[in-house]
This record gives sequence, structure tokens and C-alpha cells, in this order.
Amino acid sequence: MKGGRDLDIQVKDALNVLPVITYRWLGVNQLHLNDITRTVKSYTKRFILSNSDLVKNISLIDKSHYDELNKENVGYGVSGELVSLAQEAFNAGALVQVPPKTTLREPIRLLYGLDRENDMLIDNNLIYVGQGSQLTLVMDYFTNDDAEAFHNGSTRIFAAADSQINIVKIQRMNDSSFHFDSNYAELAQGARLNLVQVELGGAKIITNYISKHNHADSQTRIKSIYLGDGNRLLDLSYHMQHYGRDTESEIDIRGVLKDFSRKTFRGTIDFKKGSIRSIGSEIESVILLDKTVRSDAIPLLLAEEDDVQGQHAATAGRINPSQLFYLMSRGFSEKEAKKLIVEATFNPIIQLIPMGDLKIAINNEIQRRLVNE
Amino acid sequence: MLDNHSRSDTIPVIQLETNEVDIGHEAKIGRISDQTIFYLMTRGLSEEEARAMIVRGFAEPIAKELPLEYAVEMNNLIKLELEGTIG
Repeated sequence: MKGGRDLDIQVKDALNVLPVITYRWLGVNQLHLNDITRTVKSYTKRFILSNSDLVKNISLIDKSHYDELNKENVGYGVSGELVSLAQEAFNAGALVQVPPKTTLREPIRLLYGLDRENDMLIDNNLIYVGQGSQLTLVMDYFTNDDAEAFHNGSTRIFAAADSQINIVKIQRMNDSSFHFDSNYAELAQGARLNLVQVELGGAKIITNYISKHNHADSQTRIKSIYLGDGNRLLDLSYHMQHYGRDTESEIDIRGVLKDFSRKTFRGTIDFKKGSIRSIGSEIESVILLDKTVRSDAIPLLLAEEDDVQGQHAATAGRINPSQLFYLMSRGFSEKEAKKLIVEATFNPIIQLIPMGDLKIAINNEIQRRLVNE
Repeated sequence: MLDNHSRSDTIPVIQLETNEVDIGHEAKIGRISDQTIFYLMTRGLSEEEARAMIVRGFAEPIAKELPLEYAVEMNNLIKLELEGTIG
């Protein structure tokens, strides 16, 4: 832990506040969780799985160097207090610095495993990718036992001109863990960011992604899948900010809810003045498997510029009974048939993950949660 | 959006507490394409008339549900609103 001091955490602030507030009585402007208190502990596991010298443990870098990197502070994340915690009291995290015109052939993997001995992870990740460079980074958050783990993380990405960054974030923690994840990306001219997000476990999952397209021709594509089961609470927020000309963003979210799970999707496409000829689209589709689930969607479209194309779509519904009947007539049980349909929805996104072992782990987790229980 | 002084915020909220539903929502934002305006102008319409025609066409599915006198009134209002907006 930086500075080695003991810190008490209490999550007090509103989380994932909408960029534009709507009627208060709808109860969707923000999320409040008042019952979470923790004391910051150290995290002792090795988490960098890469031989590349371009990735360093951020806790081991010089304080003055870190302060220099951290000086440009922008508003982002799940909440101000949780982002400050990740920036000031982190106990893990990686600094990735890819020089210009460098292509990393092998993905960099960060394995953030939690268990009873290491049940608190506060990771602060800083990623700089130089002009014309390419990077694939896989971040895997998981638990090894039934520990009530707490994760609060911040990931900041700075993409120089014409760079390409692929980020894969997988969360498969146990059903009593908390996951707060704040992400911010700043894209220069011609930069491309592809993000794959997989949320399969946890008790309370609060994530926030902001992508700032400052310069022309920059592009963000987010593909995300989530699974809600048990009493899980999911609050997923995405904010695509378009400042430069000819910028593009795409948000494609697919989810499944069962049991007593609750989910809120907040997606914003924000065309600022000057974002001429920019394009943004967001799609959220959710399959509801039980009557007892709750699903909220707030897809925002904000435009200060007329020469833009923005669209959003949200769909929610049950599995088509005739599809289910057909599969069951072929010998599948109802649970297996539902799992097949869910897999068909998730697979196009799972296939984007560059590692075979992770694809298998994700499919096994979906199998366990949907069929075996 | 017809000019770059306007601002549009769309904030739909979908709240579901059951799975006995099939819900869909869609919204789009954009400007009138220059090609469409150009095509209409090659047919002899002024730019102002071309824009008014496109806006009337956009509102038509709603306008045709209105009683005739209201639909005529709405079309006149669209024409009046767009008069003098070019140049």
C-alpha cells in the first residue's frame, strides 16, 4: 500500500451519476450504497503475467515519477471518493508504457486474484501507448475461495495518434464480493480503443467507462456481456464524449438476468460542439429469465452539433417460447436449452477474447451459473 | 437537427420489474443529408422548400392521424417555421 498507512473506507457518495439529471421520482439519477465499510489492507499476490519490460508494478515506481504521471487529474469514474482512493491508497496496479511504433505481439495479462488472505484489491492502472503502437491488455479479476472480497480499481488509458489498444476486462468473483471499476480513456487523432467487458460474478458490480475523443478520427468500440443471478446488483455506466471531427463510438451490451438480480444500464453518447460528422451508437439487449428480476435502462443521446449521427436502441424480453420448445424437442432440458440461447447471445463477444483458457473459464462459469447452480 | 444552434437531449428511461414483457426502444438523431436536399433542388425546389418538404415527410405518419383541419394547420406551421431559415 502506498505510504503504508491504514485507511478506513466508507462508500458514501452517489455512484454512477447520470451526466444529465432526469426526474428524481424515477430514482435512476444515481446509485446509493451506504452499507459498505472496509479498512485498506495490503495485497501481496504477484499479478503481472508478462515478461515485457514495458509493464511495471505501479507500487514500485518512484513517488515523484508517479506524482508526475498523476498530475493531470480529470473527473471520471464511479465516484470521486472511490477514484481518489484508487489513486492515493492503491495496493496494486500496473504502469504500462509502450513507446511509439511498437507492436506487442503477446497480450499483457494482469491476474488480480483474491482470497481470504488477500481480500482487498485497490488497483491503479496507467496505460500509455505511443504513436502508431499496438497493445492488447487482459485484466482478470477473480476469487479463489468464498472470501468477501473488495475490489476498487481505476484504469486510465492515454492513446497517442494512430495507436490501437485492445483491453479485455473479465470479472468472475464470488457472490459475496464487491467490484467497483472506474475507467477513463483519452484518444488522440486516429487512435482506436476496443474494449471487451465480461461481468459474471460478484454481489455488487458498479462499473464506469468514459472515453474522450479529443481529436479527429478517434474511435471507441465497447462490447460487453453481463450475467445477473442470485441477488446480484449491477450498475453499468458508459459515457462516450465526442469533441473531435469524424470520431466514432459504439456500445454493444448484452445481458441475462435471473433470480433476484437487478441491473441498471446507463449509456450516454455525447456530441459536443465541433464534433462534426461524428457517429455514435449504443445498443443494450437483455434476456429476462425470471419474473423476479429488475432491469433499468437509461440510454442518453446528447447533441450540441447538428452534423452528427447518433442512435440508440434498448430491448428487453423473455426467451422466445417457440425457440425453447424446439430445443427441448431435440432432447435438451429447459436449463440446457436456455443456456444454449444465452451462449448464442454471448459468443460473438466471448470470441473476441484472445486467450483460449479464458474463453473456456468464461463458458464454464456461465454453465455453472445457468445449469448447475 | 436543422441548424447548429439547436441542442437535443434524449433521456429515455425503461424500468422493468417482470419478465412477462417484450420492450423495445429506439431513437436516432441526425441532420438532413445534403444529397437529399440536392436531389429535391434539381427538381426545381428552393432549398427552403426542400427542407420544409422533408420535415413534412418526417412528421407525416403523425400528421395523417390528425383530423384534416389540424393536419393542414400543422403543415402550414412547419412551412412558416422554416421560412427565412436559409441564408
